[in-house]
Amino acid sequence: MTTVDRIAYTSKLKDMSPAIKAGLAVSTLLGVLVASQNVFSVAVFALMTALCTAGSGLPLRQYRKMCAIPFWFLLAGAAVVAVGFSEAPAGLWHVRIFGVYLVVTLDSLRRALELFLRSMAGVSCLYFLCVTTPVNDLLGLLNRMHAPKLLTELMMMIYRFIFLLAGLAGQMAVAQKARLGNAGYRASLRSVSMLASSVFVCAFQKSAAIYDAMESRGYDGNFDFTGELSRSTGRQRLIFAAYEVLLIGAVVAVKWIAG
Amino acid sequence: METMITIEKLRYTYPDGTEVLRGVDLKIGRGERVAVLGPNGSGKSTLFLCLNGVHRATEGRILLEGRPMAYDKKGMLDVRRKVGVVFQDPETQLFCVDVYQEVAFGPHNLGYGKQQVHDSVMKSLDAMDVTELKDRPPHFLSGGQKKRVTVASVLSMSPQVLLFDEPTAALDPIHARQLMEEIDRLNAEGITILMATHDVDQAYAWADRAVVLDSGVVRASGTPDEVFCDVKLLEQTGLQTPFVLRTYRALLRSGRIRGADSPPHTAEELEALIEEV
Repeated sequence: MTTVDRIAYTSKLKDMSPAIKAGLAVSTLLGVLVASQNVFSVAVFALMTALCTAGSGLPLRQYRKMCAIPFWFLLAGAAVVAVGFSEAPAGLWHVRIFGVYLVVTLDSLRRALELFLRSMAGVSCLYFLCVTTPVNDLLGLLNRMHAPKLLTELMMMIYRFIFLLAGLAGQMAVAQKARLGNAGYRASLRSVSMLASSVFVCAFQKSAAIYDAMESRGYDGNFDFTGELSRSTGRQRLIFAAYEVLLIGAVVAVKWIAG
Repeated sequence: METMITIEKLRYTYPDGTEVLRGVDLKIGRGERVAVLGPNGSGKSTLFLCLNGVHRATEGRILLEGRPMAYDKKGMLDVRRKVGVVFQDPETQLFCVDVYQEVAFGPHNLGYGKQQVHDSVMKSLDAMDVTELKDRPPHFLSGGQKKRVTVASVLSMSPQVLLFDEPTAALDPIHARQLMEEIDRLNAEGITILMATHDVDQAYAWADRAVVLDSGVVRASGTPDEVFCDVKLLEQTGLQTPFVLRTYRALLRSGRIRGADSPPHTAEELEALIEEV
């Protein structure tokens, strides 16, 4: 299974300063929200797609697969926005249900499209961060920005446990299959329920064992991150500054043109 | 030999009421290599957790370098710095997002400064030959690499005693041999090693002393020669005679080789004896 995690570790931009990457993603995301213009959203999506694929080295096919998830999700969300209620028939299309009309107007369609494009552009900004920055860099950055310890520690533990439990569940599923646990619908259902409950129990046992192991190395409830973050080079900072100026310029220009 | 650890009438009962250790008495010298043998459930792992202070003795006491273990915060930090545990399953030990953090975890808890943490991490990464893995998350490591990282994560606290719970159990022969070489090197630097194992051949060849634990008490403690020549003891505790020793005896009985001053411990020593004839 290819995880986002593995993608981040093999990214061509992995060793770039996480502060720059996060700054780029977040500022662009803010730009998208402030500009709120379809042209701008599409341009950002195109830019981030280029950065993720050509820049970071992610195959286009895989990027497309990653985008399919938010695409369908947002499409469903936008569809709800496109449809409104009305007491009288109106708009481009309408249908009568339980005494009210469900209507689609040009205006609501426009709003749905805008929302959809803006969300996709926002997702692409975060994807850029996800596919180029391993979790430990992200945690290190959050820590340096003095994010609450509780948050970063929880993130770290949850991250580790996802892989631990996924690995465990995978092994158990194979062990069940080896004994025909998936022979037929009923057996499969039974196997899955058994799997879920034993993974649950194992999670508790594992966490107790991990706690023992942490205690044996002197854990007293405080955890410090020490990892070193890659520093940005002068050139990267310059490019970043130029990008920010361009971004702000573009946002202002788009807003101005739109009136 | 200077005494490193003294265990006196140690008893430990789990919160659920199972009494696992029922009066363990043992003395371990500084720099000794001790193999702890015994069937599953005999209390090996529990004993290790007691020696590191994770489990608090229900009765009896443990002395480190002659001083009784103190269970207050300062005392525990001291115990955990001196005694490191390498757990059997690396998964339970590795929890950080990358190898560097993992190895830095112990030194941090000891309250080292930033530079000191870095130095001790790099030194132990180097000692276990895993420096190039330092930015990897644990789930991208192979079994052998995970094991070495767990050793490094304990080594970075510069312990004087290392407790290994079946270190080679899940490793292939090549990685197992490499790990044993690393362990020997640590031992040569003066670290006392205790190793829980089921492998009688390994214990017989490697250890200065073999300790047999059974149902929570020490059944025997002595040189491998003493322990493995005690036929009655082996029978009672279900341990087998090491392969090398058994072959040596058979060859001796059939008059194919001449007796040596002490029986051979490794396959190489046995080979040399056979080739002598």
